[in-house]
Amino acid sequence: MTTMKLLRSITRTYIITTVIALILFTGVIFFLVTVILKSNIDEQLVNNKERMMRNYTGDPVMIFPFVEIKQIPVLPPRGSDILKDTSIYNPVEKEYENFREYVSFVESGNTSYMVIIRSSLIEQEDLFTAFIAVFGISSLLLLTALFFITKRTTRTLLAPFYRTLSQLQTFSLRNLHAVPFERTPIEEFNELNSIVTELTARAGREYTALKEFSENASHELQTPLAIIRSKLDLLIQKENLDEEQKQSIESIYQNINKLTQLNKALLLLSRIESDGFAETQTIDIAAELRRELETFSTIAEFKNITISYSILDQSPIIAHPVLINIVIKNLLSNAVKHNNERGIVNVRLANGIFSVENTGPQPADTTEKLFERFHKESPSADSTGLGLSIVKEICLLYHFILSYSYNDGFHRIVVTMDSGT
Amino acid sequence: MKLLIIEDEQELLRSMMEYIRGDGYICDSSSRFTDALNKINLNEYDCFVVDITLPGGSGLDLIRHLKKVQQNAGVIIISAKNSLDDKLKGLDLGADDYLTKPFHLAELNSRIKSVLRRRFYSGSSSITLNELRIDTEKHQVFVHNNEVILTKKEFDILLYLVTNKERVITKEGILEHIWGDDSNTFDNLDFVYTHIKNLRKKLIAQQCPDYIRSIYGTGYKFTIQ
Repeated sequence: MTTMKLLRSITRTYIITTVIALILFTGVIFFLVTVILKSNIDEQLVNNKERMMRNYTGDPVMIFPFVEIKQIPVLPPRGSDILKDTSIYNPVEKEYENFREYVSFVESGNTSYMVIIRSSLIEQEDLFTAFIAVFGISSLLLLTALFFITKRTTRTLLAPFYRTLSQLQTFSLRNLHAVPFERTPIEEFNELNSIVTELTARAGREYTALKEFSENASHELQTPLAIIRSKLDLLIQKENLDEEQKQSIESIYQNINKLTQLNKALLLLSRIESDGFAETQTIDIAAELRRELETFSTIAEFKNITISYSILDQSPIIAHPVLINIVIKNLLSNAVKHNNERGIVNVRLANGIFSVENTGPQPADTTEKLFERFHKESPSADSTGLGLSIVKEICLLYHFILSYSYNDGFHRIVVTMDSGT
Repeated sequence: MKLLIIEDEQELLRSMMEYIRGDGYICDSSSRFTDALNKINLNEYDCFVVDITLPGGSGLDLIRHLKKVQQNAGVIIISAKNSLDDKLKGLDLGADDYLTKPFHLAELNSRIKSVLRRRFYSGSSSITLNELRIDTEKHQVFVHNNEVILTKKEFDILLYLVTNKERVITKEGILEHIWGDDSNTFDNLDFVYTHIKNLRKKLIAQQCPDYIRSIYGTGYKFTIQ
């Protein structure tokens, strides 16, 4: 289905109906006028004949093409008079001209005559031309006027609607503020605005409730996790554990750990979303990155992964230091974690663009699905599936542009921090 | 050494007490705000472990009070909230350390010992176990008075094991200890194994008995018995 602007749709309908109406209207008027004119001419022709015959002396008359009176031997039966259109060649103008012709048969004395009276229809043709001209010009004027008037009035009329639309476009549950709408003189728009206001407020309330719920749930999980962990810490101190029990404990440990990490990540996510990192400071991201790379080189070495980097000094960015640190750490750890044995990691920072490339198996999804929560390419036991979505959330917060691509065996994640500001 | 643990979660409190008492410390407990306040006013302690969220009041208020009554005591905050705000507020009030739940008991133990060392053994900052001597201030390790050169991570692991000696320490606990909040970024337990292997090698090279025992499936134990 093709779509168009409301304004255009309204204007188009207006213009089409106006054109059709004008054509029909002109046709009807023209038809009526010709009928009336013709009957006038006919009446005049008949009258003229009567007048002429009253004083007729009996000589043949020939004023071509207007009047012809001829003697005829036999009078045709009554009712043979006819009125008809005809065209006659005009040798002066060298063209056919249209005439109305009245042929009648008259008996005067003992002689029968055929009387032909014609009236030029040239006036009628002029009239027709005039009609077309008047129609054309007036409809053109009308349409232009209509076009501009519709455009103007609908624009002012629809202005509140477009304002509502643009406000809805910038609406986000993350930074809820009451959407202010001014009163408009149009009832429907007021109704729309009040519904939108109510809807956004309700969505906001529900979103906040949901957020609080998940935050509370994560908080509540911390205590039982702490208890389980502490009990396990005590349990492993027991001297008389057999191998099987130790293995079970180890497995419980690992999973408690995973649960703890998951919960921490969820808490972090909800804290980012609820503006828990509002305070900011200037950060030298190049220095931060160099520091982290130092830490990572140890673990990369351990996994036989080569990290190469080129870092140019950056103008400082304004953000929460913890979040910037998380972005760097999560991207680096992601590149190291999901790498091949003896893989490569390339880190680059220049002109506000931070990119991390790493070798690794081709993902099933080369899309940005990677940044979705709990999206996992491999059933890796040591991954929460939240690391990249945390990065995404932080990028959203600071209006960084985050992109992912896979080319020639390299995963590449780019964070554009300086988007031309 | 006498400690007071203030924590409203009974089960966690019991675990902490059991672990800490294992080192021969006298350990009192309290799970309510007013009760804790009374204990602070009546008895003298060397170290307090305080949970921030308590029924009846905030742990931060307790710290404010106890810092007036018992200036020399060490204070460790434990909290379910990993909130920078609370942490800064607590440290501002004079707390020595801040630990986020859930934590390993060995971690709590090592933090308590570190606080006690700093506060009460400031003159001699070394731990001596037979031929092994660890200078916690200068980050030096000696065997038979010969220095063993360790990396920072190896030193941290050794100190962690020693402060929790005769206890089984999990690999996860060690990882968390040496990497702190970042441990989930490096959840590679082989990493711990490699560090410990190197640490043992360096100690044995200086004729130190192999005190570090691997406990199959769980972790390690530093034992001199």
